Amino acid sequence: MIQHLFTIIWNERRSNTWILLEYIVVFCVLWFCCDYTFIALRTYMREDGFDINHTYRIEMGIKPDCQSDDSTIKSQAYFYAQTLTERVKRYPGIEAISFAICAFPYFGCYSSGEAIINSDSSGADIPIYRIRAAQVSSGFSDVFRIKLREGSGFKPEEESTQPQIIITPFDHKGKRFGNFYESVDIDSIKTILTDQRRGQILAPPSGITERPIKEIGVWSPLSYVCIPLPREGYDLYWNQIAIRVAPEADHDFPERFIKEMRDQLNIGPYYLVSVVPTQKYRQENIDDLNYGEGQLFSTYVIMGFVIINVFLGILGSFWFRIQSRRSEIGLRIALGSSKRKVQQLVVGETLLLLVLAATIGTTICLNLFTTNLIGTLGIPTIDRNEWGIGWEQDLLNFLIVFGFLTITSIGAVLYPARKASEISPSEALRSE
Amino acid sequence: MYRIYFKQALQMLKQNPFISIISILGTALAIMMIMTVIVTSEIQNASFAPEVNRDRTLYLHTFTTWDTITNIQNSNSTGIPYSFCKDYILPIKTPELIVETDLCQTIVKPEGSNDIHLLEALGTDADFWELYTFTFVQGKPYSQEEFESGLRAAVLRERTARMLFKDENPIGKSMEVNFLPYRIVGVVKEISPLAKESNAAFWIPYTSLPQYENDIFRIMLLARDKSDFPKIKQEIADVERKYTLANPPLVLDLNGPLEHRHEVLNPGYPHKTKTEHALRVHKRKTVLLFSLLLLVPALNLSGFSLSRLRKRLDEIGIRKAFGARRHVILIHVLFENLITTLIGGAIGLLLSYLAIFSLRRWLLEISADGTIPGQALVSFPVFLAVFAACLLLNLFSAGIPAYRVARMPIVDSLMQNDKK
Repeated sequence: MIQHLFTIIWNERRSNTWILLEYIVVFCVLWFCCDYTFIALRTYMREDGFDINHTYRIEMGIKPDCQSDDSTIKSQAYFYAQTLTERVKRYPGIEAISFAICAFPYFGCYSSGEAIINSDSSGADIPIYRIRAAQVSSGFSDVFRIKLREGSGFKPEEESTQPQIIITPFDHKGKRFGNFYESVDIDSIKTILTDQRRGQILAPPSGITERPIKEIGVWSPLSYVCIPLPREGYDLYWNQIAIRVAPEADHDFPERFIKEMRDQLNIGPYYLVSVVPTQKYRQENIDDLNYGEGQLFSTYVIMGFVIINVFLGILGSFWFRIQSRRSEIGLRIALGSSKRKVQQLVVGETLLLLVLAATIGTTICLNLFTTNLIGTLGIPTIDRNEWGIGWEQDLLNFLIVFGFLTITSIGAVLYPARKASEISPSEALRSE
Repeated sequence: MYRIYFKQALQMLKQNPFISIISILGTALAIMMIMTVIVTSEIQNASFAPEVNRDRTLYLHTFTTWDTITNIQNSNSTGIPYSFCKDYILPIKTPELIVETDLCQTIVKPEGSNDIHLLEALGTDADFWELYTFTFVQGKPYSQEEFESGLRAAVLRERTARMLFKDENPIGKSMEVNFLPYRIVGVVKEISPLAKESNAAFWIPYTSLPQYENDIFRIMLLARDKSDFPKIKQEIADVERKYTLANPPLVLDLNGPLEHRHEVLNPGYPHKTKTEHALRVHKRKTVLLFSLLLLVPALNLSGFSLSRLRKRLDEIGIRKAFGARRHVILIHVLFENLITTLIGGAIGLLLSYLAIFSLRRWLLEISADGTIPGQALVSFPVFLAVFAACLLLNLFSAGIPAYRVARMPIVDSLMQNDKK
């Protein structure tokens, strides 16, 4: 049967070339659209190590006649932060509050740093790991529900007798510390030497998080090294102030909070500007990365466009083909071929063409991934190795694209196939 | 002759309605997609009120310095420091106008009310009102003298005026902007959200902002004529050199000035080389997109044309036997096909308008109630683009089949033998 189909395809090679070419182009386009959509959805749905539901950022402003670096304001900064904490905590439904520098998720404030493991000094043969440096107050892990697998969160400064450092793994298995290029087994870490704003700190890790923290917007995953926010680091204008709200209290929260708290949060030179859901920052990051709703919608539109075209192409081509092969099909029916068999012949011909195109298309797509051609054409790609994406994605792409095209092709060819099976055997006799 | 071709083409369409509908649908779909892309970009680049001078405007808003000794880079891609604008940019002579703007978030409290609103204000100079042509419903803009004296005056847009003062006349009334009192001097007619450079809830002289000397600004340079662009670009390059010479070891990169069509595509990189690369990548992406939008339907339609022409081989053979030349046959086939393409093109254009209106949030990043200026939609370049797209699609889809039947020997045509 298949050999017979090949013969038919070969005999109709002129018009089949067009269909085959179209199939190949569409197959490749759908493959890349599918790959892109999956990576976008992975990005959108993945666990980032933070739980940002019901969390908000409190944005504070500084009055026009004051400046944040004014020495009197600076000396009072910690006191202002304490006042704000007390007042916000009294508001019904607030579960936790924290202050941070370069740690608020998706906010776009990064600070990179270096860490030396199990050594108290740097040297030529001692590896230095590039990490993300963050300074957070004690409530940070409560606000973003960051689970520690070892140790406890930061204790307030006055209760702690030794330097505190919390670290995160960078890989999805939660085993390695560092970055994609240089890493070390996280359980082998005895001490960490890190250089941050407060100067050098050398201490054993006081906590290790269960999962890595992967912020969307950071291309390459990095481990975090968090130290407690020092007293002199508090500043209501420059710090990122995060709060967690109880789910039952999270209805029209920003509007309600701003309305009821505006006067209370008029603290010294600072005033309440807005309350922004963390989800909004995440969405903005996704949009900036070309993985936003708009870009996904564009991908769907392109997919829709090529699929409609394939549908129309197969429908039209096979309709023409049936017209020009009426005598042949008539003869088949005259010689005892059933209607079903004629239909199977037409559908089989289409599917065989699709299989041929899929084989060529897959070869092209797999090879294109190994070159940087896709990136140079402005189609967003990510480093698959760094994010742990392997061959299973290729298989998924193939299955989905092949499945999609099979359904579309069968849908398109059914009408011409039915028309063919309705041909009367007498047509074969009338033909010259 | 063309009338006969036209009649024949219509006859062919009627003869085979099923395939005609499929062909027209395929063409319409392709033209709709292409025109949606073209019209969207046309809307982003067309000059319309208040941004009537887009084609003569150059933009600057990046300030990157690179320390050649420590290798440290400092960059800001959203604005240029005031002191630099004053010392280096404002002295430039070629542009007709140099306009500086400073977008800021403000807390606004209207007179006699306890309501507080978070609104975007645009701090501008007085030339802003010359570069952009707003229609004043009431009052007038602040003058050069008022700007220089740092007068706290504000011009509201109609929507803001209604929101702050309900039905009352806002002129002469005052409002608190970031705890400082401002007097309302004018109200302008609503503007399209597509006017992105000039958009704000209200406008104030930037000299009225406390510590404006520490702020950063977007700069618009209005050329007298487009032919002045190279001269202005040269002047900016001279500014970069001058600054670099005066501030060793710093090297300055202003990443511009960019023309409007590049500015809308600028992803906000801080470096000239990166921006140029991004623009090149964008060009490649556009070429890829257009080729895809033309290629896929062209492959479809090519198959149809070939099948249709096969049926008419005898007719073509007879014509050739009576002396028709190859190019006559070629033109005939292409012309006939063009009729189908043009019908599809017209439907496609209408569908693209429908698509733009219903998908404006996605295509133009404006809200669903945002208006789209009519002159950007219906214009000569747009129609020319439709025709060009149709012509290209026609050539791609009927070119090869037409060429093949035109060069087929007469005997083969008459015998309907196309296997050779």
